[in-house]
Amino acid sequence: MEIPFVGGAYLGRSPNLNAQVCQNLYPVVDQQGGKSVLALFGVPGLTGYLNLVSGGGGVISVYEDSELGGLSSPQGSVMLLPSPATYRGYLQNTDPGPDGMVSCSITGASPIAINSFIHNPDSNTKGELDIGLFPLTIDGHIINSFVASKTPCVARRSNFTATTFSAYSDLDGINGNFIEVIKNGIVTRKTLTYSNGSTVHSSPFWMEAFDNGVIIIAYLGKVGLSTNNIIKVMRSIDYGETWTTINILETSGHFATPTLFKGSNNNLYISCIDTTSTNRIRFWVSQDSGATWTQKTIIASFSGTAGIVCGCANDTTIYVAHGSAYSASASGAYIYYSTDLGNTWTLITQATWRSISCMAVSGSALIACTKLTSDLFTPSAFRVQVSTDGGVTFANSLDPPTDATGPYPYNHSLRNNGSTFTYTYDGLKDGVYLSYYVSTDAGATWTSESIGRVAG
Amino acid sequence: MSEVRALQKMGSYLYALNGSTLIRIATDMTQTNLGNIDTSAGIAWIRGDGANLSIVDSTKGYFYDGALQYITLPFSGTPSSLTYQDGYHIVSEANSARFYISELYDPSSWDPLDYATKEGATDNLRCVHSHNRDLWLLGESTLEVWYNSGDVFPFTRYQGGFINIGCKAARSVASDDVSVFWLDNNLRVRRGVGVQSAIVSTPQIDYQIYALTGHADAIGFCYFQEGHGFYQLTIADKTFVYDTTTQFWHTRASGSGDNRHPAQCYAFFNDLHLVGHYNDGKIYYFNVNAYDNGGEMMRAIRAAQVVHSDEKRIFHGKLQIEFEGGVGGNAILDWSDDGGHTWSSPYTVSIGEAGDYSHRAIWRKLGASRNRIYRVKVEDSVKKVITGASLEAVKGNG
Repeated sequence: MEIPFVGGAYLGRSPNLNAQVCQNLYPVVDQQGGKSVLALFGVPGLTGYLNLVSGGGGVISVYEDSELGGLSSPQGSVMLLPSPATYRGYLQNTDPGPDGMVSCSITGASPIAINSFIHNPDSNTKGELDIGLFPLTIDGHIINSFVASKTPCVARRSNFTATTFSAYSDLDGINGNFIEVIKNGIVTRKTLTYSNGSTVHSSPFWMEAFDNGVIIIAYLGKVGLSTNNIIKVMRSIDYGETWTTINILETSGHFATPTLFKGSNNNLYISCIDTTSTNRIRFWVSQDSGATWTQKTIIASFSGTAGIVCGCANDTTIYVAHGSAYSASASGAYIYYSTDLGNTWTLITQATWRSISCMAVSGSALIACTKLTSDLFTPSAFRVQVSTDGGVTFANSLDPPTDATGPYPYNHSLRNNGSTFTYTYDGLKDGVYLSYYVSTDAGATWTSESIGRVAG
Repeated sequence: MSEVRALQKMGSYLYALNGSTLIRIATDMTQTNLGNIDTSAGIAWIRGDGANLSIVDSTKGYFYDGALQYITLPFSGTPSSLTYQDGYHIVSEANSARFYISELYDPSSWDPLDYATKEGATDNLRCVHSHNRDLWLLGESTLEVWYNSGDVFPFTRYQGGFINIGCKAARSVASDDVSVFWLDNNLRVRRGVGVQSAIVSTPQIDYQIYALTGHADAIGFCYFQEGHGFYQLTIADKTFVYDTTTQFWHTRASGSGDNRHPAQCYAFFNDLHLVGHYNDGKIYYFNVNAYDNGGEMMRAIRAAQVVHSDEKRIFHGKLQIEFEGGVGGNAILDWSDDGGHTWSSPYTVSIGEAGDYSHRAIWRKLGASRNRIYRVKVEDSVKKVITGASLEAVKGNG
């Protein structure tokens, strides 16, 4: 007798409903709509098509070779575009890297620190580093973020318990400092350690890198104005895998606000304020990717309030500037330039400025962010100005929105990579705390870029 | 592991919501992360208008127009569903009978006054669903079918576009080329065409659905493959599939525990029937030449209807199940003489080694019974086709 094995399921008589099963088999009939079942066919299986990337749990998001995405990491991988977020934060710096890619660091306000942000102006794609990736405390901050080289891309973050950052940093780096290295699409986090293996705890630092895997960072060896500090340099020649500590100034002093910058000829320069006895601006040069350093003449000595120094360089000229970003009563900013590798310096005084926060140079365009009045926290006091005569005269280039609150004097950043300049400051405008501008015409015009975040 | 919560094709890209991450997938399979939404699991929709995406989960709305951003929803509550029709992104408000429409082709812009109410009955709206340019408003206990009339508020209810049946699970609603399918508020599966609907689940399917929990989270999708149309509905750990071509039901299961089918959502992209996995963050495709689910066992089970003859004792001499031979693998037979309450020991025979096309799967000396259900299983990753079965049996007198 033929038994109804291939017939329709879940239709006919069954003493126990659970007995009738047609699992992973489906009836095929004699014709469309027919009921004469010819066979039971196995249902199709599933073949893998794509492992989807995921941002779950916090994720690294950086780029390589001018493309966002496609990265993996031991922590779980990949880049993200700006997520809607209720966080607010403060831009700390920008760094335009190869191919116009821009990295911005953002420190978070309450309730949680947030990210480093990356922008490719060419493709208008944007990505971010999500600090939630790591088992850090909620006070973790990315202090500086750098697009250091095309391969790898390096960003730096550190974890601090303090929630503010200034040029006069008094942060306690209790949990160490980290960088992230992206090589061949793999993101790894490196904990910076001294040669003896102990973890580097420091104030925020500066970073430069080269395509051959050399990474240089400079920072204060100790933190706090009340203690003696030394300027330290760490150097890696293997994409951050191992580090060598270089004490460029062996004697302890009372140093502050180191700045590290690279000329377009790949020379490296460090300058800082030394207040050990009198206020002096120190200066070091390296012409071998940071392996060795030469201390040059003291650029200047001065009295009064010690402000930050900032610097920039093209092929022929090094600029170091000093003002008093903090002091409402200070007057004047001082730009020094050298065309003989820092052996001699020429002073240009900008008498109408109260301070200079940062500057960048490309070709004949020298761009500076200045404060024009004694009011520290009024946006209209700040200007981005451009000089085409080597810093002798400046003209307005970008006026920050007058209806914004902030910015704070220590959170300006001007960087450039070739003809691409970026300028950021933290200030509230249209509900967004982060203001970020890009200029590709030597500061003649600026484009405001949204990072896509929502103020909270 | 993450849940692939939604798939949506727009233009030449496929968009996926994997956990919290919105991803754009090109035809060459390169992925671009577009950002994260706030939730990483649960009900979600993606819809596109050709240029912009809208995304809705159970808490918020988002749009993507080059950057992923929040939708400022035009109501204070939470959304309950999302659909798209005629340039409008359409969102229903949870615990309400209202649905709202966006500005034309602009999911970033919503006027709080651009709403309408499913007003034929007082039940809340469970889901909005566009089907063949008809807007289905599926409520908790009734539904209405609207159309784009071109008025100031463009959607209007059809004359007679009211059905006195509701929807149990918003994500159970799915369309093929003709019909809308959904799990109704009486826990039956329905098929709607025009402004009519009919039950397609059989009483036995209804019984099995009723025995489950988690009906409100049921999720379904439709697809066509090899001449068959399927509506696949997963409720809790059980997956039911209605073959819209033959109108027969079957179930799909995966893994040694015969758990739910992994597919959570569906899109046809790159000429493949793609599905998102419910918990491993991967996209798979239905492959008629694959005999497992990404390496996970896909046990085929067939328990036939009862063999009986007026409750007389039947002596079972030989059972032959006609498999397509020569594919390898084994068939495992057991039977129940008490209506499926208990089962015999399993008896395994070969379907036929690869290339042994004439091999027959035969079991002999099967004892006697008044009322027997045979059940056969194939657990191997081999092709499974059953073309018939025959039993040599003798009817006794007692």
